[in-house]
Amino acid sequence: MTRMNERLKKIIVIVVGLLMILLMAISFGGRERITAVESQLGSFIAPVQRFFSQIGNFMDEKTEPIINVLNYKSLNESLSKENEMLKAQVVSLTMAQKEFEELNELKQSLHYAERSDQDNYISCSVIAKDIGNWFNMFTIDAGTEQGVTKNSTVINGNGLVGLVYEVGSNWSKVISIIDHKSSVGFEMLRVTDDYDGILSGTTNYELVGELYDTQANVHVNDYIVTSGLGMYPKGILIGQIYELVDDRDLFLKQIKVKPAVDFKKLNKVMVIPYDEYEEEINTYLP
Amino acid sequence: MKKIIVFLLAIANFILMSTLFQQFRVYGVLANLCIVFSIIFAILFSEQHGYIFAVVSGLLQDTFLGKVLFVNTIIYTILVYVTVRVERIMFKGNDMTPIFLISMATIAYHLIFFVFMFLLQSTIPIHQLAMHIIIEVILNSIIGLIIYRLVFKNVFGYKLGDYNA
Repeated sequence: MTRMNERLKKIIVIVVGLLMILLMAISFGGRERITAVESQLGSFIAPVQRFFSQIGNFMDEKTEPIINVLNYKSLNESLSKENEMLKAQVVSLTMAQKEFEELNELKQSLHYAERSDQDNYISCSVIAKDIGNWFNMFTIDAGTEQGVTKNSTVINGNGLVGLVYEVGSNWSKVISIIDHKSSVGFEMLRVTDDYDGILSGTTNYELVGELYDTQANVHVNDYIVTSGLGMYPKGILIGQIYELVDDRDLFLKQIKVKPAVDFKKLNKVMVIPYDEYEEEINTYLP
Repeated sequence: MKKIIVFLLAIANFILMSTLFQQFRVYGVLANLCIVFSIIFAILFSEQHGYIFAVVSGLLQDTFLGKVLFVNTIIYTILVYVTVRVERIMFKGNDMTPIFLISMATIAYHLIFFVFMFLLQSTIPIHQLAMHIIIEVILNSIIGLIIYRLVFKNVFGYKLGDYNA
């Protein structure tokens, strides 16, 4: 009898294991809707997590000046250099601004159809970060109740953060752009040339991109923004190029990008809801 | 130890790891306390204690921060299963036991994870992760040894390595 039970136990374990592996394969890539159990569980745990992450952020805020006290001199120098540069830029940009306004007036008089700017942001905070070391995922405290949908874009004050992966009732899972498998269409933030390409994450908080045009004329310290191809809306700052690699074997020009967002210190983010209907209309617009 | 306490500890561990302990990342790497605790509980209490901790923390991790469901749950369970069978032939009152078991478990975790992700075509080149894994093994072993010593003293009533007791 006991032998029979042992056997039954083993069979159950194997069946459950196989079932889990099957569900694993199905759930890969993020589900459209998660189960009610998960959603409810999230509502229970989210407030506790929010409380503890606030404590963590508070601690970080208080200890950061002590840890970084030696770096402040060099930081100060680089900031004043940047300040000089920015002052020079302001002058040239004011000129450009004037021209732009003239063009805008012209546009209105011609009744040019315009894509309205996004203004329905949902602000929320990061309540939990990934505890493994493989992926870069985190949870935010907004879900379907706040209007978040799957594949919504997540940004913060500095730039692009990531994409909503799965949505619960008042929490959602976000996958960041530095995750290995996420890819972002980008273009250069420049007036004259318009080079496009695709960026993908690595594990070390940096991004590697490939330009479509191998003859592209790009430089270190250029800024790149989203191109609007794929899930992300156009014109969100991604980061700054810090290295160029010429791969002659593959006829590709690779760039290495430092993200504008500091992923280690991420606590407030904004979500731009993804609307498939709207996306469709936009693609048909001239 | 009562099993309900293990259950609650697993939840508390998940909440703390995903929030407060994020501040204590070493070179961007976080020690995986889920592995550490499941193995220590499996060695010092019973196999079932290990399974409870492993399954609860695995499920929570997969639900809220996982890319795929059940992957961590399966791996933690396998780790406990193997650990219990390896540990039967080992001497519990030795520092090397927890260090060996926990570091082997951490390496095994990453290897199994690699295999699963390989099958799902979502793998990361292993050389990019090598440094992470090495740091995590060291962190887990150190933290594991400290916790093991504390729990050992509570369970057996004398300090680990105190052969005169």
